[in-house]
Amino acid sequence: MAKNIEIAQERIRNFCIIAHIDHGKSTLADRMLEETGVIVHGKQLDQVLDDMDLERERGITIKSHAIRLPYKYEGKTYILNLIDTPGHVDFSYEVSRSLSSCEGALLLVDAAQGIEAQTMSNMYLALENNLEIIPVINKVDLPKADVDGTSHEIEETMGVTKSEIFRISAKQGIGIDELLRGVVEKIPQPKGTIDAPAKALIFDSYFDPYRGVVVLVRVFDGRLRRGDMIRLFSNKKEFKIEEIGYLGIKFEEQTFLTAGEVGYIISGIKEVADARVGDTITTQKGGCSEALPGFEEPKPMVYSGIFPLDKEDYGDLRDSIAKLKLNDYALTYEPESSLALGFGFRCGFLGMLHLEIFKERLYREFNVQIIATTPSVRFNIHLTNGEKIIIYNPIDMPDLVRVNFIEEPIMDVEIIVPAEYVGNIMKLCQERRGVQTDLQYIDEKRLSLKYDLPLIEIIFDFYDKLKSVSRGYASLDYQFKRYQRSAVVKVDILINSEKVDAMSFICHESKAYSWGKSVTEKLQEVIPRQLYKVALQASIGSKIIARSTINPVRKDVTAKCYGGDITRKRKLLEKQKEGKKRMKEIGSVQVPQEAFLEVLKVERD
Amino acid sequence: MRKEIEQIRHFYIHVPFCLSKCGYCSFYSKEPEAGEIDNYCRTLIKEIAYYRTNKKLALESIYFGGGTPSLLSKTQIESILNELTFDSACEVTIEANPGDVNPALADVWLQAGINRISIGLQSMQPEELRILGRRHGVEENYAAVNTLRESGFTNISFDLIYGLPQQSLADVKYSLEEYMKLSPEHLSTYCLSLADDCRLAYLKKQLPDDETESEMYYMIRQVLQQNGWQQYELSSFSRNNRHSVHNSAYWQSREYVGCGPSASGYISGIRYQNSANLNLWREQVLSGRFMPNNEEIDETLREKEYIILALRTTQGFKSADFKKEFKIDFREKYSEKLVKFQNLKLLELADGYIRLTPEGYFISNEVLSEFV
Repeated sequence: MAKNIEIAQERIRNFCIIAHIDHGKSTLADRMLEETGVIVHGKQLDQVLDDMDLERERGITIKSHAIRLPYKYEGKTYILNLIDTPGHVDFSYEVSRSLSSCEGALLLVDAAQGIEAQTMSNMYLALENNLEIIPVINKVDLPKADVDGTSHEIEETMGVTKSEIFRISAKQGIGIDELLRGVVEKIPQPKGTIDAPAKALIFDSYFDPYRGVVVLVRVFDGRLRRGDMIRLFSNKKEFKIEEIGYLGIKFEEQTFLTAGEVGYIISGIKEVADARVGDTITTQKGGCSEALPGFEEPKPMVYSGIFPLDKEDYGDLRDSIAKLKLNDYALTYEPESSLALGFGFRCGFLGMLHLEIFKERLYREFNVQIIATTPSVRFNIHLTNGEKIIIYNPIDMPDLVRVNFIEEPIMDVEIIVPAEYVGNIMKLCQERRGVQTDLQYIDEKRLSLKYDLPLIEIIFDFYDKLKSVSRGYASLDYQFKRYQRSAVVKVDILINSEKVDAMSFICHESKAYSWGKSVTEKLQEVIPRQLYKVALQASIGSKIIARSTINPVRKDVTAKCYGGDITRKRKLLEKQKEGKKRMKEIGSVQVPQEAFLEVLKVERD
Repeated sequence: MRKEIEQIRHFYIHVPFCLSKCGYCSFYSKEPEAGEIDNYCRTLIKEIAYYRTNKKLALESIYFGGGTPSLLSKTQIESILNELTFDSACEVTIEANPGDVNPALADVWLQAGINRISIGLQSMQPEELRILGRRHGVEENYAAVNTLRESGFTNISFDLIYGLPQQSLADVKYSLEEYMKLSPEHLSTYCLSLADDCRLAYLKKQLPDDETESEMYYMIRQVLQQNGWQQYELSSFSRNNRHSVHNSAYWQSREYVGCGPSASGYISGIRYQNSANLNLWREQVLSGRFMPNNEEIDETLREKEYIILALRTTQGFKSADFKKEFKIDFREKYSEKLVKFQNLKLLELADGYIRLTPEGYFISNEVLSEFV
């Protein structure tokens, strides 16, 4: 059993790196690990902090992690705790909790890209948390680097001088030691009271199949010891600390963690929903009376019906979602059944990326293939009787005569874009029912645009469109702003007059016609011809707004049995029969699974 | 009911050689190298001898299919047919490329006992033959048929391919009318399909749409009927009852021997398939691995096959025959499907027969696939 080496708070620095995707955060973290001897150059795993396959492939960090870097400065060893932050807008709450575990942040900007929208918003978050911000320009060695331009942009945005900005190349290892010195010199030491009641913030937790939930904490006051009974503020649940320690390359077991320190706790927690990010941990006996500020219940923003591709896989799907939930506290799910798709789950996600990750993990980690229905958001439905209901599934939309009015979620959106694309962006936002609230030059070349944009308009390929109209240069950040009264309608899709519940969607009435048309046209493409004519319709209530027709099958014949090869012919027919079996029968029409997937990909302009 | 002791009445011989590959073909064939056909014949004779010795043959049909069986020389043809016993009532067919037909070869065939020629004319439009990559022209088509007639052949079948890229209804009709002038006894029609691995696959997008192909099919059918022809199977037509005995055997689920690379056979309730590769087939034969790659056709499969094969014929099958064969009342067991397809006017029940309606012919797989 390791013995605790007591580290004075004045030798601790807790910091994180704020950066846009691809600006080199993981590479910088690697270099810091090497520079401090935590890993040996050439032997390290690439980009140690991103340890999920998926994270590395997508180049983003889904969950935050942390690592402890012992750093010699003027003959004394300092402990630098580097706390990682997720880099996507869906996870801004997690970012805020990581930031509040730190006293300082490195604001890392790619010399060739400049400041991006998410970097800006995270910088503001850091400022709100009173963090000391150290601006860093990365990739200064690149031929296309515009170091002076980027420097100028940072000076303008942050109100700092040139000399305060570090210039590094994480890839080449240039300027890393200077930066580490900067961390020690500029970032304040933690200021916790060691003999106060224990108070620690959960900034991350994850499920380990062998050890249960591992909770990553920053201790603010007092001390947490192995064997302590701890209590979580949000749910009042109590656990015993079985193991506690520092986060090196491996777990470094200790006997306690003290105010100012960062580390992990293992205490028999079974799922991450019981140790939620932002929650406060204290001791059962002599604990603190007030929680740390800022805890929020996770708020799913996007919902989708998740159904097994093959009905037989329902059990597998249920078990797999339950396992994913162990490690994903923000995921919500409840059983849902659909006439078209059978039994499944209505799942709630923080955003579209969260949904995408979920789908991919189901497939990769559990090999479950699913159909996800058209995503939806939460709508407030005000009924004529004065009652208010919340729906997040189009099929729950009440009859229109009972509805007084509907409110939809509006997001506060910030887009940073080079000046030449501003026109395109404004056009796009207008098409998506955006209302401009602000427009500012960051410097001579780039602008920040702010919009109030309905979430339902963002979840359908807004990001892809944004990238394409700005040749990839625009960056996006958004957060929930308010609910707003809106003329949204539910559009139903009918196949031979039978409603396909899984294809219904809610959209603004101005979009209903074109979206309905796109969907029926797509279905016309993907549903094979049947023995009779098939009518495809989109409707609002009983009013048909779009219509397409599939002509009956006219050719389906095998010309010849070559040399009497009956077996081959029989097998072809068997295959055809099997194919039909895998289709869903709706209104006596055989609808292939792809139809449900294709409907999701329909252009919605 | 197994028919173990029954005699086998049909014999298929596959000749895998082609001088050139047609653009739409994705089957195994190869250009013959020097001595290769002789070598093939030696192996083939061994294979035939095995079945002749070990099975009871009482042949009603022999069929040389390919590939291009008309590449076989006098000696080769004779040596193969010498292995088999048959009389003049036996239908002996050879598939022929119009470019290979000449009076001498026609005589060889007649002398060897061949009495039916299936000739691959395919079209009477020069441009269409060129697109298909056939190595014969329209002139050779006329000449070949004349030669065969002059030599005394009285049972000739033509092949017609329709549904070519950008082909019109009139284009098909022209070829068909030219065929009529030559008064064949039998006609096999094929709607062109282009597999992904054939040379013409790039023309797929230019194929006529399903509606047009359907129109072509029913037009051909109508023109032939108006000229006194009879359709007896989805893509087979005949005059004066000159059905193909050999092909009819397939549709009646009869057993048959298949020899040569890629040939399939059906003997004693077992379907088998030879390797499609010339060398692998030779190894199979020389090492005594006869009836390779086989599958036992149990009663369930036999029933399915019976239905999907018999329904290809315009006559269909007798409910009573089905009962005799399987001890199952078809109308009872398949009542739901029967009613469904009767309502859709794709199947009909008449004179105790169950058959496709003409409306069902060109979409027959929609019906057949429900019975496998």
